[in-house]
Amino acid sequence: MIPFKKISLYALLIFFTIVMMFPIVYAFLISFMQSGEVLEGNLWPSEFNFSNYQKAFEQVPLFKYLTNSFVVSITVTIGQLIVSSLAAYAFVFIPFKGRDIIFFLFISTMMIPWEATMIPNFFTVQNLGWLNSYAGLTIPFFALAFGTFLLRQHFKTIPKELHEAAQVSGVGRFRFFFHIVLPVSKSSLITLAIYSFLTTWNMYLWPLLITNDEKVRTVQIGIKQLQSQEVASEWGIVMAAVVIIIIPTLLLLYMSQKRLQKGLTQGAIK
Amino acid sequence: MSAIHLVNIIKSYDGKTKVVEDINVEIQEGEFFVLVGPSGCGKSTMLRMIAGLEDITEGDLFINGNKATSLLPHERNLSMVFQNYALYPHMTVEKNITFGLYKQKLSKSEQKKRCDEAAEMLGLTPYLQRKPKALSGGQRQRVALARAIVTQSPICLMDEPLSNLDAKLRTKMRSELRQLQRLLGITMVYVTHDQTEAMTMADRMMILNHGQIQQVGKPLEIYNQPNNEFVATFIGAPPMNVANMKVIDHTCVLSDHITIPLPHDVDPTASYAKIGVRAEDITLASENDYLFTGEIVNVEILGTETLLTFAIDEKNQWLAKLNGQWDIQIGEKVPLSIESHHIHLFDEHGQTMFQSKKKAVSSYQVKDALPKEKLL
Repeated sequence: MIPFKKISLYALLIFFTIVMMFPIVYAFLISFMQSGEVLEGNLWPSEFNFSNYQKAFEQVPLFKYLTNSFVVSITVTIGQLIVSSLAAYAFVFIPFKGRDIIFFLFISTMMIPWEATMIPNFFTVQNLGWLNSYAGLTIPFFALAFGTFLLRQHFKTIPKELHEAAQVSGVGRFRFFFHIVLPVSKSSLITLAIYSFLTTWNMYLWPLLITNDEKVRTVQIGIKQLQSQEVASEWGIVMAAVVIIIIPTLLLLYMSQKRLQKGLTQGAIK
Repeated sequence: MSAIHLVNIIKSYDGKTKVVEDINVEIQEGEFFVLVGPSGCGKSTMLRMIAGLEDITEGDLFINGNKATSLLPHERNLSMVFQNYALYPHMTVEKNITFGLYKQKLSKSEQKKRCDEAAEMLGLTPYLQRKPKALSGGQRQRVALARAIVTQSPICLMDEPLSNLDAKLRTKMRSELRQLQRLLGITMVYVTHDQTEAMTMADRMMILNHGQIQQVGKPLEIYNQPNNEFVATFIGAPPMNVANMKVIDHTCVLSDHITIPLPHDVDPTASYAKIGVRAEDITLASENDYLFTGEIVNVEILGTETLLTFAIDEKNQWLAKLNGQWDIQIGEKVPLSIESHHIHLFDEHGQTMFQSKKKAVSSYQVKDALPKEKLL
C-alpha cells in the first residue's frame, strides 16, 4: 500500500504543477483559436491550424524582431562573459591595494534596482547617440556585478599553487587566464552565459525606452505592439507570437537545467 | 661559486613580528639542501622567498652570483614542485609537462623531445595522454617532477613534495628523487617537516625553529653534535632522551635512583641543567657497568630493533633502543647502562655545553676488513 504521506505529497505537487503550467498551456491553446472562441471562454480550440502563426508573422515583422533579439542577447552574453571574467580574474589573482573594498562596492551595486539607474543611463546613451541602435541595447549591460561575483567565487576555488606554478615557469597573466582559469571554470561560465542570455531575451523596459522603430526593436516589444495595434486585440495571434518567442527560452532551460542549478549554488558554498 | 646565497634575510608580514630572522646561508651548486623544522617555523616562507613568490622584507638573495632579491619568479631560472602537485586538471600529462616551456621559445619538436625524455626517466610514457585525475598519487607526483626537470633549470625547489604519499611510496620516491638529482646535477632546495626525509636525503640540512636557524650541517654532524636541545630532540627517531638534572660531586643526578658519572674531560664547575642521551646509547648492563634499573612500561618490537620505554621519574619516560629482538615483558626490571662519553649536556637555555666527537665508521676502519684490492 502506498503510504498516505506519499499520496498527499504527490497530490499537492500535481496541483501546483497545474497552477504553474496553466497559463503557458492555455496560451498555447489560445494560439490555435479564432478570436470569437477566446471571448466565449473556450478552453479547447475547435480546430488546430497555423493560421494565427501565419498572421503573426504578417502583421508585425516578427522575424526581424526575433533576429534583433538574438543579436542583442548573444552580444550581451558574450560581453558579460568577457567583462565579468576579466574583472573576476583581477579580483582573485592580482593583489592590489583596496581590492576588497572595491569588490564590495562593486557587489553592492547589486542592491540598487536597475530601474533606479535607468534615467541616468538613458541620458548617457542619448548623449552618445546610441538611441535606437544595437550599441545602446547591449553595451550598458556588459558590466554585471552578479556575473563578476559568480565567477570570482569559482576562481577562488582554483588552488593558488596553480597560479604560483605558472608564475615560476613564466606563464604570463593572459596565457594563464586563457589556458588555465577559463577552462577550469567552464561550468560557471556556461551558467553565467545561460543566465545572461535569458535575462536579456526577456528584457522589456529598456528596449521599449530606447528603440523607436523595427530596425533594432526586440521581440518582447514586438508583442506589445501586436497587442495594441488594433482596437480589439486578436488574442489568438498574440498568443501565437508568445509561443514562438518562448521556444528559445524553453529549449535553453530544458537543455541546461541541471547545469544551471549546479553552477548557481556551486561557487556560493565553497 | 654558490648557487644560492642568502644574506641577512628577514621576513615580516606586519612589520613587527619576524617570521624568518637573520638567515645567512650558502647553498652550493649541485647540493641537495634540506630545510627542516616543525610546522610554522618559516621553512616554506624561506623557500617561497627564494622562488620569488614572497617578498623579501630585508636582506639580499643571490642566485648564481647575481642579485635576485627583487627579480620576478620566472627571471630566477628555477623550477618548483608543490606539495599538492599543482597540476592543471584539464590538461593531459603531456600538456602539463610542456605548458611552462613556451617561455623558453623552444620548437615543438624540441618540446616533445624533452617531454619524452623526462617521461621516460620517470616512467610516465604510458600515461602521457591521460588527465591528472586518472592517475594515482604517485604518478601525479612524478608528473609534477617531470614538469620541473623538463625546464632544465639548474635549481629546483621542492615544498614537501612527498607528504601526500603513503609511507611505502614515500620511501621509494625518496631514493628515486635523490638519484635523479644526482644524475641531473641539479641544485635542490627541499622543504620538509619530516626529519627522516631530511636525514636520508640531505647533503646538508638546515634546522629552523621559530624563524631562526638552529643549525646547518651534514646530517650525521647534526645527529651527533646537535647545537642545542631543540635540534637534539628534533632530529633522530626516536628523539634524544632529555631530563633535568643536577651535577653533584662529578655525577649527574637525575633522580633518587638514576645517576650518571660525568666524563673525565668535562669541566664540573660549569652550569649544566639538562642531560641528553640517545636511545641507542642506553644499553643492557653487565655486572661491571650497571648504572640503574629501568622498570619497563612499554615494549615495541620492530624486528631489527626493540624499543623499551621506562620511567625515570613520575612524569618523564625515556626510550632505549636495543639492536635485535629481545623478549622483555612489560613490568620487568631491567639493568641499564650508559657510557658516560655518550651523554650530551645542556645549560638552562638548552645550549649544548658538552658532547663528545663521534664519527661514522668507514668500512675500512673495521677490524680485519677485506683490503680494497681484493674486492671482486
